[in-house]
Amino acid sequence: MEQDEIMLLLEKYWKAETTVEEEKIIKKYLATHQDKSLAQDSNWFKVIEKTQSIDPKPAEHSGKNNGAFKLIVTKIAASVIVITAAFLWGINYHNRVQAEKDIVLRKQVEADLIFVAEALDQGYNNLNESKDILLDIKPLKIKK
Amino acid sequence: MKKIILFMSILLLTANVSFSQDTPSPASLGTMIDIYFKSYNSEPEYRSTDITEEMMNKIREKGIWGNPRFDKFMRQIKLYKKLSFKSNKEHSEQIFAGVKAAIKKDRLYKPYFKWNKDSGQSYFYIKSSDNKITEFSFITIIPDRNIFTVSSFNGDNIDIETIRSFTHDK
Repeated sequence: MEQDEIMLLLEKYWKAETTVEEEKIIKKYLATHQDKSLAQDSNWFKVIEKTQSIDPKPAEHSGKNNGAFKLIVTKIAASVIVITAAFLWGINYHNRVQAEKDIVLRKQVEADLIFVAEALDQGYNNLNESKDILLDIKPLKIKK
Repeated sequence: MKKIILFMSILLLTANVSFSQDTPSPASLGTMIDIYFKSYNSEPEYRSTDITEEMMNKIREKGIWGNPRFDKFMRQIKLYKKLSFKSNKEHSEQIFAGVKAAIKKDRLYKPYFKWNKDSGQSYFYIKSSDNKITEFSFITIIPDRNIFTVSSFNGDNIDIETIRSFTHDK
């Protein structure tokens, strides 16, 4: 009697007319009875069961994926911030070092100019002193 | 007709090559440091600094010259070079004697001024072109500190007399 009922349910199943409850009945029967005439049907349900166990649950899948995506976005954003900060710090550091170098070079040039100025000034003063000495020299009077 | 065009082309090409191969002007040879001191780059603590016109403009834009007269004078300068290295008195005198002889031989530079101080000696040289001073360089030997330095100011028309006025502004 039970087998006839299962046969009828299987017929309905293959016509895609069974309800979820009826499918559960079929699965339960095939799992507990080893009926050779229903071997093909039994294999079919085993295959379905395996496939369902392999497939991840849609809801969980979606949730996990969102989390991973958010993590990647956060990592990228953090990397961009770190790189930008490092770049700006690098520019600032370079400018500061360059400014210090400019000041050192400027001082070097100025020291040279002052040195030359002193040299030239002293040179001209010496020339003027020599000229004054020469002007003070009175020509000798020749006695006749 | 083709022969005439070919002949004219060869003539023009030859003329171009002939006129463009003039002897290089003193300015094209470089500064005193380039000409006479490159070979000393193995000397201890050899340091060479170049301030190009671009850098000079940058310093001017920042307005960091210590005195407006420096700024005014440096506007004439297209290139400033400074060289220094460690050298004791004997070695410095030996180097200078060699350079002096080479300068005398090449006739690119004229001795302008010599300054003796307690600390050392300085030898000033000028290079001119068309009665305009294009380079003003000086070699300084400081025996007490074992230093040999060369400074070089380069431009198109340098007015050295303006430098002297800096002492009155200190």
